[in-house]
Amino acid sequence: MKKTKILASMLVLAATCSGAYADNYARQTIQAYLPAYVNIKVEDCMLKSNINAETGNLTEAFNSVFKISSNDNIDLYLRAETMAENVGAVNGFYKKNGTVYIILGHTGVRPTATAIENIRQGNTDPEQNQNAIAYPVSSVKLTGNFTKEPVFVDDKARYEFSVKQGETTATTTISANVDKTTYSYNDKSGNYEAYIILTDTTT
Amino acid sequence: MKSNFIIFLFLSIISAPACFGAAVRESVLTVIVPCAASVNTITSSGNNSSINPETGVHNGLEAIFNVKTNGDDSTYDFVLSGSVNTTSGETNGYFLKNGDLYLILANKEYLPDMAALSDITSGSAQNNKNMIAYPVLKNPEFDTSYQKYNGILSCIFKSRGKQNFNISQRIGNTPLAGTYSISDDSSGMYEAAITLNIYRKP
Repeated sequence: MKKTKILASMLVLAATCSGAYADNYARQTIQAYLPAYVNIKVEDCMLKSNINAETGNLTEAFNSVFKISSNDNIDLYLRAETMAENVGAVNGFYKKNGTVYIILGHTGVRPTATAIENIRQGNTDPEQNQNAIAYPVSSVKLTGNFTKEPVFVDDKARYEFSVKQGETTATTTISANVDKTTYSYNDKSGNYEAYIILTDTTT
Repeated sequence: MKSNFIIFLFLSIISAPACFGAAVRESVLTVIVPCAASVNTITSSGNNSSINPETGVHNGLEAIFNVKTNGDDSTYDFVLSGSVNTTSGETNGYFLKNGDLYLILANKEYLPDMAALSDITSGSAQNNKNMIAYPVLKNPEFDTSYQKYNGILSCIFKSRGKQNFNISQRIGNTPLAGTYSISDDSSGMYEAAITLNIYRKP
């Protein structure tokens, strides 16, 4: 009797799914850097007053107002500039007997740099500072978020103060009472001006 | 000798090949390949940006992922989620405004609080210290929808059968009005985390 062997085989391989995924999520952090920054706005670009021709006093005091917005602690510098003949802008602040003054120069007939320097050095002869008139700075006041009150630095002839994050207002008041050693008939009629500048740079 | 010949013939017969008509069957090997998916992040310069402090505008920001899968949209849900850190811990960084998706970036060092988050997501943002919101740009390569997934607002996209692809989520440059302030948003690093989850459908 012939016998035949039959072999049949079926192999089924089935791998299970659970827990077989190497990575089914990934996380990425994205970043953007915001640098320290201060924004300074002036409340009024042009402040005007009148000069009493007899006395040299202003009819009303000046109030220069800066609005400061900052996202960090920032050092700020308040300085003044007066335009001198042939030279251009020169430092307009000076200190005399403990009081800080600002020098206004004639816009049409510029004072010489010498005339301005004479005022800064305390020269009391009005004929030596033609077309430049000085008025005292009553105050520089801060309201809002600040860390250091304004201080006048003599060798830099500027105010320095610090603000922190937030909003701060800096108000500079110029007294109406003229420095009498700087006003005389030698000062031509016309417009006199100075610039008050607030900046976060020392240059 | 005759016996020896018969024995030899018998041995030859039982050792002969199948030419005698043996049955033949096939061996069938069946292997079932399961669906699988993997995702990895791709590091690029777009992961980092800088913000113009005057305007709050950044100069380009995106998260990029690479997906490899032998499945498709019938097998998986591809889900993007955003998260930010607050003083109360990590929270959802996405929100919708007028149908558009936005992502919040939070100051890494000076963490914002939940009040800032509530203000931004209120629809009329104005007081949200140390949080800035930017629009999430639509990716034209993929069908995307914004909806809750597992209870969290997410960006869900379709792979359209792609098996090895990159997907990026780009963040628009201009902050949502009312969410950036020079004086309220401290300087420093602002960040969010984007996560791509691949969920197997039930």
